[in-house]
Amino acid sequence: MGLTIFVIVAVLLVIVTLLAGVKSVPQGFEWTQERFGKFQRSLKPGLNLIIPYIDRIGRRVNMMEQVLDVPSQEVITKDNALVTVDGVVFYQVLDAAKASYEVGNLQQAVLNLTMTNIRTVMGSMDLDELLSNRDQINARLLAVVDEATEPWGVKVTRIEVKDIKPPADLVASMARQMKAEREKRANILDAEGFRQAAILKAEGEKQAEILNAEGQRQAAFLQSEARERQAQAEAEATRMVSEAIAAGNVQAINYFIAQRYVDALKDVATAPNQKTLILPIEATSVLGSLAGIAEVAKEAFGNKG
Amino acid sequence: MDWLPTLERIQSWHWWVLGALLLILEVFAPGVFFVWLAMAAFMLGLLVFVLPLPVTLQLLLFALLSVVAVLIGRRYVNRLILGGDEGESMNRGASRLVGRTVVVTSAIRNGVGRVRVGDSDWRATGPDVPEGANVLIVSAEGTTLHVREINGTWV
Repeated sequence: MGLTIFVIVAVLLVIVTLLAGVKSVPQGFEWTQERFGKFQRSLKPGLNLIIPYIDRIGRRVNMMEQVLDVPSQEVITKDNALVTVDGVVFYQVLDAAKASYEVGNLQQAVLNLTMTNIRTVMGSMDLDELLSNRDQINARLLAVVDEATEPWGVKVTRIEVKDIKPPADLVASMARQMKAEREKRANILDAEGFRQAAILKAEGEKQAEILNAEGQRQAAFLQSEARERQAQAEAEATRMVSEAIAAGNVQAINYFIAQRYVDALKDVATAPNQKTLILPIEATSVLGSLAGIAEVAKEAFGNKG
Repeated sequence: MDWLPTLERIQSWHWWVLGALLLILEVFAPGVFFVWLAMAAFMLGLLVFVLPLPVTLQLLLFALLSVVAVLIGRRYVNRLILGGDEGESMNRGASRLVGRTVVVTSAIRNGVGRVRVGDSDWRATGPDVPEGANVLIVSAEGTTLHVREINGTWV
């Protein structure tokens, strides 16, 4: 009977021993193995055997990328604006041993490091810079925090500043500033438009006047040319007439002139609404010249006849 | 109730039933453990079926076979069943970056600098190279990448 009890206890011992020695690590985790409390190696995902009673599992480290919310905190910028900032940190444990033993509370450590660095980085910037240079803030934060978490076997893959909230009154005045800026631009554009329009108009008037003057000048030129031509023609005509007279009888010209004269008188007399007939002073002489005309006729026809 | 195993008599099918119960337990228990005991129970059942052994010897053999099952299982499970590359590159930290060509963002001076991998900066060790040079990741350790210069040399 004693033997049987011993055997049963032995079987139980073996089972318990196996239970302590067979470890299966799930994917995404690494377990640290401690021999007499001292770190020895990390167990990779899959089936692992450790020496029972001597070895123990220390920490079960999550090797997956973790996301950590950075709670909102108040930061004073370089130009003394108080803004509320929150963010998010992504990190991944790359070295299970370091993450287990080099730092006490990894998550707390990463969080605090990030928060203080957000203060540092944002505190060195103006509010305007803060709002427009998020990329730069993220990059600087990442560089600093990643460097600092290196000894912990942790890789910080990303830090993003989620929300930057300036105080409400500041937001209001910023909006006012923006509105004023826009209005200023609009006014300037307006004035610019008016100026341009006036210039264009003046330029148009100037051009018109120049063209006008040019036209008049050209017209004058043409007129004088015409007059010149007319004078030339008259001179030619006179020359031809005088040549004709020189060649023929002088009485011919007298006849010519007399006919013109009578025609002109007829015109004057038959003009409408002409109650009074004004005769030139020399009219009598014209009448006298009629005798001359008769003389001419007499001479012309008489001599013939 | 003479089908129950007693300390005087354990039959082969008793072991098989135990094996099945242990397998059921395995499904519900966390971790992989009871499957080894189940294997041992099945093997022992086979052995007892062939040649009847005294109960004490059977129990001792069960303990022994459990250890053997774990040892054999570890050898073959890790090599044959888990042996594929599937999942090997997951959660392996920086090792997955080995073989990539990256750009130095902060000159490697006195053997330490930083390189850009994807959209993040990594600490890098290797021969001194100026900023902007191309380097090849040859190995990784924790969060540090070991790099080799590739500009001007054959790759």
